[in-house]
Amino acid sequence: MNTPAQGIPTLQCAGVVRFIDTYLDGEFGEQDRVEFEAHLASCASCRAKVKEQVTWKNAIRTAAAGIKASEQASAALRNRIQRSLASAARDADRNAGEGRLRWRRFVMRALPVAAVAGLVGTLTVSRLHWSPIALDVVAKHKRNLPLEVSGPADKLKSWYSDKLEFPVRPPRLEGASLRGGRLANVGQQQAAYLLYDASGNKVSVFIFDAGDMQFETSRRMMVNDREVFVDEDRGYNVAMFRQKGVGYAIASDIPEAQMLQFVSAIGR
Amino acid sequence: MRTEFERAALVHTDSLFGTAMRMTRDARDAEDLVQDTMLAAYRFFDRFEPGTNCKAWLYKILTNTFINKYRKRVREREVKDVLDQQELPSLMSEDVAISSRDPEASMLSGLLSDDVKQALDAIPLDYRLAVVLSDLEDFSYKEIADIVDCPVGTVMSRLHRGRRLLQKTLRPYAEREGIIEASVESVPVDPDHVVLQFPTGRKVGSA
Repeated sequence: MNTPAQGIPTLQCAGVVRFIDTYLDGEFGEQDRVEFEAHLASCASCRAKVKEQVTWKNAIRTAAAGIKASEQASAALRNRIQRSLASAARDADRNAGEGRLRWRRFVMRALPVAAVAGLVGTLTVSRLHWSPIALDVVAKHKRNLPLEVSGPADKLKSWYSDKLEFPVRPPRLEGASLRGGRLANVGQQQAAYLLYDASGNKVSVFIFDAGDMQFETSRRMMVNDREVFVDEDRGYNVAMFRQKGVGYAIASDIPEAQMLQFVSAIGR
Repeated sequence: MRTEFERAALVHTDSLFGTAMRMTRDARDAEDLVQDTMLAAYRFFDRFEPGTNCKAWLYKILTNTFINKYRKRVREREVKDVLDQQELPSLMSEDVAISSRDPEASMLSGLLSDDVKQALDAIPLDYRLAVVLSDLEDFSYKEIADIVDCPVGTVMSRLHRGRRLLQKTLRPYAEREGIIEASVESVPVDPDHVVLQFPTGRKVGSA
């Protein structure tokens, strides 16, 4: 190949500069690489630019090794991951008993709602594992993440209106005041997070698209004809239920009885 | 399945955490992000095809989780950072610059990791992510495109732009340390003094 002094006609200096990274990252196909190198062989200016980038690449690479060495996952994080995997594994084991679950769901649907007298009736007391949704909700309840919006219920309702695909109407909870809200997730679903204060106790309400999420927890109750899954762990109470396809989860530090009053207030 | 997951995925915890740190720039958020990523990966592990690149698969989940859950928060913080500081953070204090001015030492140490880390954290998120995935984690363009879900051309331009921004920030320090020569645009280059080592055999010119 007879290379002109100013570079081969198909590849001008401007093109070379744009593709130095591609070349040095080894991302060129064979033909492009040959053409690129042909130009470099004839163009000192581009050669110098490539050389400078080689120096940068090496320097960054050396520094990168230092960055990676200085930022390793802590033992605490590894433990947390192990715990959440263990919990998910238990959950999977439980789901493996599909037949059993189907039977349970059938029984639940078949139970005549009218026969359940009073506000609250406990249907089952068998201890199941924590549902991952409940764990997720409690974990988020415990964290003090900053609120993105505060103010009266109407303001929150309009704040959420263009952010979520379902309407969010912050419920009025007797004895608790609405502090504000932010966007969150429950499982894989986007959720509205609402924070209430009940005489100094935090109450977190999550509203989300329930889809086919599984709420099963240790206890199932009927509250106002509504199937509610409840659980408690180290002082935190959780209640979860569906209403018109929308999922609700409440996590709080307050006693269960008071929390169930909140449950019955929601969606009325 | 859990043992298999631990063998294939948990070995990447450090890498994921490092990248999560660059994404969130906050140790607590990074830890939460990695935990959420691992949990999601575990739940969907049956969708992972054995024999394919598990690290790239995990990074895709990391990126998705980050975008869905944390990005808004990080953006807000970045806006605040910009308001708080009029210019990029000073990359190194004068005394560090002086102590590492010994030419031999600086040749060995190159750019200090902390300075590169700070410079990286100061560039916009999309560029930062492209640079981290390529230069720190050695992913190919195709893998990066798949991880961040954009065309390869976009990966190339983000990488190009990100690296130049990084270099712009680090240049004064690198020049002072003699790691790079003063800007090639401003200095005439003598072709006979430039020796370029090609990564592959150079056949050009002999044909």
